[in-house]
Amino acid sequence: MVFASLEFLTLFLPIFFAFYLITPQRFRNHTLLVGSWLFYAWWTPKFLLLIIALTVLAWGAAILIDKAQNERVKTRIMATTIVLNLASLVWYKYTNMVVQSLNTFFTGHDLPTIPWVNVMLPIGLSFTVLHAISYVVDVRRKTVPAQYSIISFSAYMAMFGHLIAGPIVRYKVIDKELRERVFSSEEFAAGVRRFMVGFSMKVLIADTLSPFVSIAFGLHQPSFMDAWAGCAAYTLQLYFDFAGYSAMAIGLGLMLGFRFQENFNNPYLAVSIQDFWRRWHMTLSSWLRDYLYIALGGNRGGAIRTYVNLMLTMAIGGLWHGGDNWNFLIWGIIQGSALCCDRAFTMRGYSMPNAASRTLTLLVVMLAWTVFRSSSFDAALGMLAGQIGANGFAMGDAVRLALRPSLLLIFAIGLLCVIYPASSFAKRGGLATVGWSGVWRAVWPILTFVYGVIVLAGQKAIPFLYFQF
Amino acid sequence: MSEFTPNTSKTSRANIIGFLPAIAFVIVLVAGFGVTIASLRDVPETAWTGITEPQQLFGGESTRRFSAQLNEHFLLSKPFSQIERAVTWTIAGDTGTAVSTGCKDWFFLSDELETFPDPNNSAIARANIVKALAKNLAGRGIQLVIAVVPDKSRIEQAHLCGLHRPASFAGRIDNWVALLKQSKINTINLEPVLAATPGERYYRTDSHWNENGANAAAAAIASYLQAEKMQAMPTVAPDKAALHSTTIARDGDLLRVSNLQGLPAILRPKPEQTQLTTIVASAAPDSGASSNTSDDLFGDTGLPTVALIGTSFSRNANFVPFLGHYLGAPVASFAKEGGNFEGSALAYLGGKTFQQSPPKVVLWEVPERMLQKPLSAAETQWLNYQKQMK
Repeated sequence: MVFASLEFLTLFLPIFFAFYLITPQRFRNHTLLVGSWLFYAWWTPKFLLLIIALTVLAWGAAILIDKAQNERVKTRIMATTIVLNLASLVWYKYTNMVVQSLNTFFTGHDLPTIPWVNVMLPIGLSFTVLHAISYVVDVRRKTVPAQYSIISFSAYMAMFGHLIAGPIVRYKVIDKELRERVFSSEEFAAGVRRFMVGFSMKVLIADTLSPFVSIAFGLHQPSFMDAWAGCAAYTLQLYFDFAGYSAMAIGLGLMLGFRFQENFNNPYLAVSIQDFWRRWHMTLSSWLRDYLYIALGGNRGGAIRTYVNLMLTMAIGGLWHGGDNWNFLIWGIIQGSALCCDRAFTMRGYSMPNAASRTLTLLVVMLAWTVFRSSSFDAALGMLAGQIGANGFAMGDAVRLALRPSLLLIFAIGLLCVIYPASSFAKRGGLATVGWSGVWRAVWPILTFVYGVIVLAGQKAIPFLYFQF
Repeated sequence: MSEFTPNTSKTSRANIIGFLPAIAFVIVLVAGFGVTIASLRDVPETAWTGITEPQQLFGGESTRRFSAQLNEHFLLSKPFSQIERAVTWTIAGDTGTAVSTGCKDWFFLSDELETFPDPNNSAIARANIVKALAKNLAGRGIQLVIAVVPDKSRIEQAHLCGLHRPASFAGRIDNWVALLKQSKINTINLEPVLAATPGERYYRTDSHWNENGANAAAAAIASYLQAEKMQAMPTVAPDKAALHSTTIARDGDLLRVSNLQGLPAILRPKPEQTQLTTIVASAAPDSGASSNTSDDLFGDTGLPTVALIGTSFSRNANFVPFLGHYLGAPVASFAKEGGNFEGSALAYLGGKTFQQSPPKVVLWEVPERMLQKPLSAAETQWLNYQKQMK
């Protein structure tokens, strides 16, 4: 089930809230857990068993760590839990890709291939694994207490707001609310508003751009204009899709009394790649920093070691995104390389004007998105060739036909939303300066949400992009 | 969030405004729940067959089917999609993906402007289908005539107003016609005829030719059939008095396809004023022999000798009556709406009517926009069958 779907909005959510609100305070985690498991099971019920198994593993491991007297034993339990979590991720996410790559190699060398039926990836597994690892590591580091209630811990792991596609909510962020929370109408209202904004971002902007992106990235020899139009549309689509999803998740969390961390902060206004990663999928980048980069040694081992750690962290972060092809690894390496260059540049005391650094950062991000979105390495090379003008300049027939008036309008609105926070009007206080910001701030999410529901009900639901990860 | 935190002094107005989204949200959820329950009642019982089987439940098939049924039967889908179109049309002049806009009040089917992978091979494959069919029919003494209908965006290019028609389409009729003519297939290219016809030849809000275009095309086809002696010249010239025209207001199919048709009159394009002709049906063909002669044992002299297959072009703008008028004989039409390239051909040639009363001439009307499309499964099957029969 996806948030932007009829079954979620008109069936799951009203029923869930009805039960949730009549449930006595002390049993609300139970209701949340059952609701979340039903939400997950809507996709493929059999994989719910895997999620439950990983939940029980992390819950049990944390208790064992908490109870163990010996530090070495604690570390071993933690390591075993991490290995088992990663093993499940590797099996479900990467085995297909590895076997296919091996079979391609074998076929090229006239060797017998491995008979293989593709393994289906359980939705949200990547996020479940990251949640489990961060919890067990935090318990080992003694930064959070072990949760002895299997219900409360399962409710944390399965919470439908973040289960499928993040944001990555660390246990310590909602530990207090898991133990005790009260329904607040103010927070509910704020959560609703946030959900409405996210819903509109997803349905009205990301989904409108989606068919155009598919056309542009499906071209065999895109021209310069085709490739850049497709890349620009994808740059906006991905942001509005994922940031929209995150806003919905944060909003749902607030409605239930949980405060999730923010996941985006105007990422396309970043002045450097490092800044970009402080603004894009912030819960993942901070996870990578705290549980991978620092575990690798961070920047404590000298310049070379720091660069190696940066590359490794981003490459693994890239690989985490995808099990379909190697493009995600390449994307991670591009990001790692850009971070290294950024670091080398700043360490030498160089700087450039904001406008130039913003443009350069966005250019690198967009070129990396081209690789990220392409269906294969060859397709990525084709798009990149188009972006340097290797297939001519003029816009092709397919892209011209796809550029409908409403698409251009949505593209312009999306662009405006991205640029607006950097405008002098916004910096001066935006609509508050003209005196009607209160009404407007309440009314526009309602209008766009209602229109989004109308659009959604009039067409098919499009899954969130980050579901595949 | 802080914007909604109760502020003791600024009080209730701000609070009420802050809660507006929550109130709207609850209304949408509750109303949506009601509509969903009502919608699910509309799902036929058969759609739920097997949905509770453990294998379907466990593998996610049951929920997938449930979602599909809900989306298909959601009661507000149609009005909502109309509202969406009203908004995008009013704000941006958008007509959806299937329809493209040219000059004011001129609409074009996007299909005509779409490029396809491997277009030449698709066109060659279709030419091969035609060649094999012509040979097969010739073996039974039946002549096949192909009439290619040019795109609206080709003939009415003066009304494109910047709407892009791919340059690669310039030769797609000529090339295909040349392929057929090389194999001595009787082929009529209607492009020169329609291009030379004064006035508008296609409806503004419809994908098809108007009566002016249909009339010109019918006259050209009739002339061809008569010149090639596939159809006897009528003993008397077509009677112009048989045509009675009036002007009517008409909404074209592109308004329906783009979902603009149901909009309030103030929002949608004005209905098009078009000509509507009533044609007095032609008498049975006069072959010069009395129908009471001993040769006409079963009275079949009066049966149409021309069988028309093709698409909605043949079913629009009085094309068939015009053709019958110029031929001086009725035409049996087996054309199908939305029949694509192969639809009506397969239905007619495989049907009883063809087997029991074969015509002398099969006239196959083929729209230009179908020539380069990837072959459908039925076309591929037909082509393979023809290859096996060689």
